[in-house]
Amino acid sequence: MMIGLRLKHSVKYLNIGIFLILAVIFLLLQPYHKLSTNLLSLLPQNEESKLLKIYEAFKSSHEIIVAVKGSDEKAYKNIKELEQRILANDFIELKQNFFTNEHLKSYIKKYQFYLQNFNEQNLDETEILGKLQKSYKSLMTNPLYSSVDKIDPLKLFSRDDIAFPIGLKNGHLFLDDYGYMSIFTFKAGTNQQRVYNVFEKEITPETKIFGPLFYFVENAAKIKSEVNYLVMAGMLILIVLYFLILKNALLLTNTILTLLSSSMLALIAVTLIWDEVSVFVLVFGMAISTVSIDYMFHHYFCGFYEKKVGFNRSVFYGFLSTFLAFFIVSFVDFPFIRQVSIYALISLSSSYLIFAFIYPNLSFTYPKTEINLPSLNLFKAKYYKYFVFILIGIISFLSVILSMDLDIKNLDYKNVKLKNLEEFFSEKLGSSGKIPFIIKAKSIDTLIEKSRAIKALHSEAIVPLSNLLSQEEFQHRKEVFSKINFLHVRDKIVDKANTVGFRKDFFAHAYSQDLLHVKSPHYEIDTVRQLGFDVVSDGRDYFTYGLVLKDTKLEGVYFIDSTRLFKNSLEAVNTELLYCGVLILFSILLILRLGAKNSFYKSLSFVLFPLASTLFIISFNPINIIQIFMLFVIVSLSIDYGIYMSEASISKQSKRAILFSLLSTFAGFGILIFSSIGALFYIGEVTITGLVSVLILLVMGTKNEN
Amino acid sequence: MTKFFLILLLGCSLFASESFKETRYIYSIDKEIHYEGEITFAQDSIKIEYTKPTHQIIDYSSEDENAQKKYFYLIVKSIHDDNQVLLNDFFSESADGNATMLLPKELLGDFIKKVRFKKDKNSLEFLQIYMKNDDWIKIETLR
Repeated sequence: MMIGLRLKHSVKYLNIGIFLILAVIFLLLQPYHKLSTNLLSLLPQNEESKLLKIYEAFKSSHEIIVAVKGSDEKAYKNIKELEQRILANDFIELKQNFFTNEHLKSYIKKYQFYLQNFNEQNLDETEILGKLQKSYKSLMTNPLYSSVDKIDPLKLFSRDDIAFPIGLKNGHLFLDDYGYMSIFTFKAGTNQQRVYNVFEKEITPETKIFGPLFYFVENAAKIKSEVNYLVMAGMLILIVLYFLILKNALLLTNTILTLLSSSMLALIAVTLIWDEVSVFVLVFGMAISTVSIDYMFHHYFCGFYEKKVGFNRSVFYGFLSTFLAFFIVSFVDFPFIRQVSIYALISLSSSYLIFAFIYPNLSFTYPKTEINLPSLNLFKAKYYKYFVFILIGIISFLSVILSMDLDIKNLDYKNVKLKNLEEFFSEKLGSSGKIPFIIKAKSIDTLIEKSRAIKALHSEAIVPLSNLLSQEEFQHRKEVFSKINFLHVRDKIVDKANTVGFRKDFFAHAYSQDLLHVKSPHYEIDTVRQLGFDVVSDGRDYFTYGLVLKDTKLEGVYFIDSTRLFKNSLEAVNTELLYCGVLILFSILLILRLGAKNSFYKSLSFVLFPLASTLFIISFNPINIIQIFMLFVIVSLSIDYGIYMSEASISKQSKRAILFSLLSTFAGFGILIFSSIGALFYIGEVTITGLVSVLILLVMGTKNEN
Repeated sequence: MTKFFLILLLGCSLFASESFKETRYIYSIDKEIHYEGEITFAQDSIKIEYTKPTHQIIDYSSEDENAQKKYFYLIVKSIHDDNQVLLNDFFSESADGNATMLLPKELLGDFIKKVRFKKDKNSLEFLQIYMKNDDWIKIETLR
């Protein structure tokens, strides 16, 4: 008897106990560190998404460009002072350019006969004499100062004209029609926010600063602040609802603890399975919580917490149908879908178990609230059947005409300011209209060969590594040189130069054997990086990058295009999604048949009407993955409403439960329609449409049937 | 009216041309070559009009494609304008008798050994550029 009483007494603290245990585990494991605002975390980890990550690892992805307006002395002074201020931070470095990289300079000097074009020509005595005389005359008469190349006096070698998009003014990088420019990089592993802070305070109307990390930092901050806002708003609305309408502080405290426990448990589980979890999973998780609040409201309003009236069958069927829907979807092989499903399954199960089996032991008093929804009684019970068929027709039609929006960037924060800056620099640096691609090879040498082959075919492409010499070309050039007696050529030059008037032995090192018979180049990843080129390796393969005009057909390279990657990944799971949809539909029908025997069509209309209205609203534009997933949440919510509304005897309480559930969901998530982040906006849009539809059905529908 | 004359005077001093003689030593042929002409400094360019031995005009600016022309402009213009920011960036400065010696830092060091010049008040007396290939160019203004 005593043990029984103690057990009963301790059950009262079970909810708090669960919360405390989970909070300790949560703080120990810190799963929130695995939350990522990077949209890439939504994508499956396949070969292509791996390449996207490799692209982010290139040093050029870490570049920050600074441009100070003006070409006068003041502007020059400004950029120099700005450089000094920024370089005072030891984790930031000034990018070595072509003109100042000593490693590159000595490489070019060493392989000058191999890197330049070789113009094989007549090398007889008359020709040599003529050329030397021409050079001598130019030195004597041309007022524009020039000198004679003592290594290549016959000009057998020539360099291709390289059109540098960035000019030099006073020896400093200069952007045409704008001003002086500097390019910075930062040491690997440096906290991006720290780097951002250094540059952010230098931004003025005259100083433009841009780097890919700006998107990462600014968008992540924006997404995080809006997600935090969502969490805070949800909590605040709950508090207002409970205090002003229900006036039950104990229920409020317990519900908040339960929802937090479920969210913590779900997040811990998901982050134990995956190393990187999209922050949008958490946002969906919050949306899912509103479904579980529903379980509490229904138990509460139907008096299950006041006195033990047994097992609430309706809530169980509601939970079961939602559980089944997410369970089926969790088999789709797409990490984001799987993460959301697993999160939902764990969060919903945990909340349901606590609301259904622990709360009845906590004895919450049923409130004497007079709030009721009006019923216009426009729908007679028999009309629901026809209504359902019309809805099925509308949904089928809309499903056929809908098109998918596969541009993942539409889900991100539309950072117009950074977009404009990026466009400004792309245009000035000649990369506008070009898309990046990755070249992959088993060795650095093959990587260089591939780069040179691409550059040879597409002269407008920017392929940095094509400036290096490949083994193949080295051997080929060596063979060409072996057929020419350069020693003999040199002797003739020395001999003729004397007669023309050049200093004795001035050309003694012309076509030097040291430069002609130089050792073949050997590349290691570190030496290539020292030369200023971006190459990364995953231990098996080597990668570098290039830029090419959009729509260029290129074989054997990987284009870096998140939209295409997202599209391919989604298309790969298209059939799975379709099968899941059909399975979910059948399971809903089955559960409604079981749970809502009395008014099957009425219950079904509570599922189909919100679905049809939402589909209609979102069908004006191509729909995206977030909207599809929110449709699942709306269907999960409306199944519950459908089942509750089938309860003939307690319809008034059911309506009240639905009303409060609608209010909390509406206030918590409807407000997101004002969000500037694509993903959050779509959540708000679908939530509002779905909830308004349920409200319309509640008001327009039949009065309490029994 | 006073302002107008002041502006006119300033304009005249900025764009006034100066006569000069240039001696160029070319190591490869071990010869000195002599030129004479007029040099005019504008806001963003230098115009050199050679009158001897033949008549020819050469314009220099910081946006020249030719690297040697670009560097020549940078040196002559910075010294003429007394642009300390640029000079300090590209050279380390020291006194050499009653003249000034400039030793190039990284970028110009590939082409130039040193630069010597002397200014009397604000006008240039002479400027001598010693090239890496042992050539040198000396420009002296004539008054």
